[in-house]
Amino acid sequence: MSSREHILSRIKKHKPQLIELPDLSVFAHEINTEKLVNDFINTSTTNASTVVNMIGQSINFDTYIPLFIAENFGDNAITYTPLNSSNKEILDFKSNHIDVFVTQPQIAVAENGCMWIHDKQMQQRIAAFASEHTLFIVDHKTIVPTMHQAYKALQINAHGYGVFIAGPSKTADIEQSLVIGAQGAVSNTVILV
Amino acid sequence: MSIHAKKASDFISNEERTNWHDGALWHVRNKRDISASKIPEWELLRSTASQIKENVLSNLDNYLIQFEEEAKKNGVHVHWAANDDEHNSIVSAILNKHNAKKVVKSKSMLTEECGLNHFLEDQGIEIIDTDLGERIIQLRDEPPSHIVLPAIHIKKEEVGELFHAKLGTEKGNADPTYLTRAARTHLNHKFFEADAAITGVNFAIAETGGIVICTNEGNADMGCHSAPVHIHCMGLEKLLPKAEHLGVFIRLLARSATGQPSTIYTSHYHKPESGKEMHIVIVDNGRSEQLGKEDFRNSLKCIRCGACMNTCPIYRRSGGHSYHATIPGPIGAILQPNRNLQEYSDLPFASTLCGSCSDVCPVKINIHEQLYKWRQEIYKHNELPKSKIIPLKVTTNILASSTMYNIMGKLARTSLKLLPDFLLYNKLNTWGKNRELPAPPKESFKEWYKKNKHE
Ligand code: SF4
Repeated sequence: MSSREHILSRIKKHKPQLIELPDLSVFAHEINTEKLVNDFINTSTTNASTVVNMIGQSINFDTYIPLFIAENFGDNAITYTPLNSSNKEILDFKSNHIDVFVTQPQIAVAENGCMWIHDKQMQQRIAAFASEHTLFIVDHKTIVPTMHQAYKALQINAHGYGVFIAGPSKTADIEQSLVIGAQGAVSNTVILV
Repeated sequence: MSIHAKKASDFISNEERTNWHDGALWHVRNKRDISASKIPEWELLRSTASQIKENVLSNLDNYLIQFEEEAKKNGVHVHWAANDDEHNSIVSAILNKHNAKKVVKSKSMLTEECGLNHFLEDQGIEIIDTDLGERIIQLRDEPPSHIVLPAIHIKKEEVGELFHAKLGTEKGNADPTYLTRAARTHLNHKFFEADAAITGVNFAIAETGGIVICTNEGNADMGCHSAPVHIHCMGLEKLLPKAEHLGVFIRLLARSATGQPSTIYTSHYHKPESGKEMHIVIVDNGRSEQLGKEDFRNSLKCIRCGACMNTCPIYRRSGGHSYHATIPGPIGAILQPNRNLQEYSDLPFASTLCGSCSDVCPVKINIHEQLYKWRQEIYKHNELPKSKIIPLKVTTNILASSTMYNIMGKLARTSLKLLPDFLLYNKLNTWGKNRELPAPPKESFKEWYKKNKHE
């Protein structure tokens, strides 16, 4: 018998009587746009993201984003923007330094600042991690209250890989002192539109 | 003296350090409380999580089969390991196939349990732990002392010295930001040099065949996305039935662990990136046996948040290493005896049975009750530490007779007052060590009740 069969038969022998799954519909949350936006701004800020609130302002992305990047990350900042790129060439992140990775998350979560991005929005998975900074443009209408609503709205396997990112990478492994910028991006900016 | 008692007494011999360790963990426990109190439905989340895990355990074989089938459809290679040895040889076979000599690994208690690092190192493979805390203890050649905060026992000055010696940082610089940046640069090279990446798994989804990894540092993703092959090692109890169940667990995990509303990265892996390879190793290593022990099976619900350690008065004051086990603290003390009753018979006694662990556990494991049950098992199997046998026998006799109980109670109340300190705080009475005994009450509850019941 293979290990697989061994393991499965032992489980079959040892498992207790079937216990039903609980009802998840009890986790219902109020949808109040103003509160969701406020909560999302608060949790994101606590997670050390910089939030720029542009809700209600008409902006021309093609001019606003490059200007924003130049102002905040320097005129010569190298950006990786898979959203607008027709260039599908694979970039070697080992030898190429990227300053800013820009994308538009599909969904954002008020309770914890999580923002969902997937393969298509990254083009290369490493981009969201190896770039020095991340810049997310979040449509405030995509904010949901909690993870329950997020998982309901998403199909986690629609793409080969998807990730909730809630801020810049961080660690407190040295004496519990919080340091922003561990192995992933060292800063995260959210532009709320 | 038992191993835990011996190691704990070494640990507390440095009082200042003990207090510092105690305080650091209590601080984390506090953050957990603040975070949990902000969620009105917290208790409902806990009971729901517990029930989901109970469902998983009661249908585990079918969920595993479903998980494997879905993962294979996604182009993922699935392997089964009955024990630690088989796990290690599966991983090493994958690495050999890819001629991988340099491997980056993100935090995984399972590979720790299987002793993977040393196994691979013996074969000439370089394996680098990429979580900062794990890297620190790896450079010190030590095991982790906590499952979420592996380097919680180390002071920043010691990290400063270590990094100066191993990574060439400035001598005497112990600034956490400076040291973290140095590690970032060091690890960045390792990621891009790596031939393969290994990670643990927080959750596996039967319905979709995918796995979820939670980190703050981004190290698991840096590793998997830069190496051509990634291997995910999971205990077979990590399954959840459906994606929707993740909502419950992601909400609980980080809040229970560190008080954060979620980790910074919650990564969902279903397929490898084009041109790469993804492997999942499902590991038993005693778990399917534990499933058969009715009193202890629900310790398999554990999601490794570490909350029971942070809250435990014994753990905080004896340090993770005193448990001489991969998983320390209250949960370790109920998991380890299942592996080896003889070796770990001291651990269920490393507890006051105060129940604080069970109170904070996000999946409602009855940890302190299991500790108590293990003590009974150990007594039955005659694995009881000698220091416990004689006092226990005496206590049994006293408790069995009510007259004897009353007399002994009176004696204790008067003798605590009258006995000089050297009798109370002597070598035979380990309870007197580092403890001021409370002032004894003038009368017993029984005496008080008799006097007051008519008032
Ligand atoms: S037993 Fe409970 S509290 Fe302890 S690590 Fe596991 S899930 Fe967390």
